[in-house]
Amino acid sequence: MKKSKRASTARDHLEVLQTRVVVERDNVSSISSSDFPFHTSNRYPNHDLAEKSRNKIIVAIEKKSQYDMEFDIIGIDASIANALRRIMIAEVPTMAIEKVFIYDNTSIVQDEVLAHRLGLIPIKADPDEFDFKQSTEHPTDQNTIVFKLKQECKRNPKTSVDEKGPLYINHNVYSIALIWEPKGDQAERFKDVTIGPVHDDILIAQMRPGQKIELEAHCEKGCGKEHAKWSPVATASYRLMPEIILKEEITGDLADKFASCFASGVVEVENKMVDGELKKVAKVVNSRLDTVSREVLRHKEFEGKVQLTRIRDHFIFRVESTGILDSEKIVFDSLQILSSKCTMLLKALDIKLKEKEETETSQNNENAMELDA
Amino acid sequence: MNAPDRFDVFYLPPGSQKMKITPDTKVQNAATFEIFREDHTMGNVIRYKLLQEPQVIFAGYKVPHPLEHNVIIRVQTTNDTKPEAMVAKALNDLITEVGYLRTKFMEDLGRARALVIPREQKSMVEQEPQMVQPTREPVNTSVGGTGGVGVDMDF
Repeated sequence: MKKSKRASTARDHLEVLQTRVVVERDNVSSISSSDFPFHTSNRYPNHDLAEKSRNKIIVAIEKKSQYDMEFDIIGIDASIANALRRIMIAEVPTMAIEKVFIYDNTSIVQDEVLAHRLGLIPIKADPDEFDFKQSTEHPTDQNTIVFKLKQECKRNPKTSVDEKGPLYINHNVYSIALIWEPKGDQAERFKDVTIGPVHDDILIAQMRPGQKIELEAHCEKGCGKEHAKWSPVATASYRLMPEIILKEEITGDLADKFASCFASGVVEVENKMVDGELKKVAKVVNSRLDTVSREVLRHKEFEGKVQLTRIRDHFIFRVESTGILDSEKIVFDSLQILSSKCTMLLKALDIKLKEKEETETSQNNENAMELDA
Repeated sequence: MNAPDRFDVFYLPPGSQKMKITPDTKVQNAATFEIFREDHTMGNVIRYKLLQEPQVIFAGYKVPHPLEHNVIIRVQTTNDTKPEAMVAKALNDLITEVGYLRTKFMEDLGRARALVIPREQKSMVEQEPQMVQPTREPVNTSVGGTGGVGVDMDF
């Protein structure tokens, strides 16, 4: 009896090490995945792992609004989760201001600073409708959106110095001042959508009477790898699902203390009948909310009673769009891009293999000819 | 002045090769794959997929220099196969897995979408965009079971 119990705890312990990242008092252990054939602690040494892992993938969308979403992917490796995150940040294309032709700028903001500020303004335009512009190409209606900005600051004639009211007119340049100028067939193509800055109230520059800004800005398609202004996300991140494993029941006043060690909503104290007595018992209700602050590990009274872990293949993604693309589209695009990158590499590999074959056959032919001679 | 072009990060000049395969001169069934204009995104994912194959003895990747935009993957296999074949298999497996992910994502999106208030309706009542919490069956994440996840899904 005693022996079997020990065996089961050992198995439980191994299970935890295989599937969980263990958060300890002053370090994190069991970090790397062991889901590989012939790994020392592998559960299935001779199975088709690819098949196995594929069959347990779960995707669950937890929270969603148009530009913000939180979703879970369960059953994938960290490398794939990280590839998706990296692609969302750096490889999903959008449109952003890339070239600024400044005709007049007498404001205090220097031309280059002004151009940089303009570049960072998110521009609402469907990137799928446009082509990438190579540096050698000329701007066309297929690869460029043109904006004009013209604003001059003046003294407000209706207000004298001692009166209340705005002293100046047009002294704040907001993003709404960027006026889209359709080129070619763009007016026809985008008659149902509005092209322009996502937010109208981004402050670009401030002026004083007599100062003036007049410029033309060209938007081009690009991706975040080249410059962060093309990144479609404000944040795209993932974390591992926290899990609090209770090794034994925590009761009485300790239960309250235990609950206070976690973020609110993680642990609840319940009244339960234990041995005919009504007792307070701590229960983990929602470990997703846990911040994994490790506060509980600082207290002697909980030593050995609790283990903080994170589930190694349960990724909680958070994708927050800048407002150009819907959050779901960003995720979908990233998946699409990942598989198209694979296809592209397969093609490259194929070309290499064919080259190799050709050189080998020609060499063989040469050898054969030499033999004949 | 001598700054490299910004598009160098991803732009492969026309006519140049995407990949270079160098067989190892001393070890049998081993080769290094240099992939140009790729980074950790593909390197790590290919390494992972290679390690899933029992025929792969060694697989590793590195990005040799942060200013050079290429990644080197080294593979050694058993005698049954060739490194090229294993990399091809890894890439094919990856395409399938991402395909599964995409289907799963679309499926769940359909469910989540039904719970989000349509845009027009929202503007009518002039509400701040709300995070809608869709209800769903709780995913069993308890310790136990064969996999890392309590729920097994059938396809």
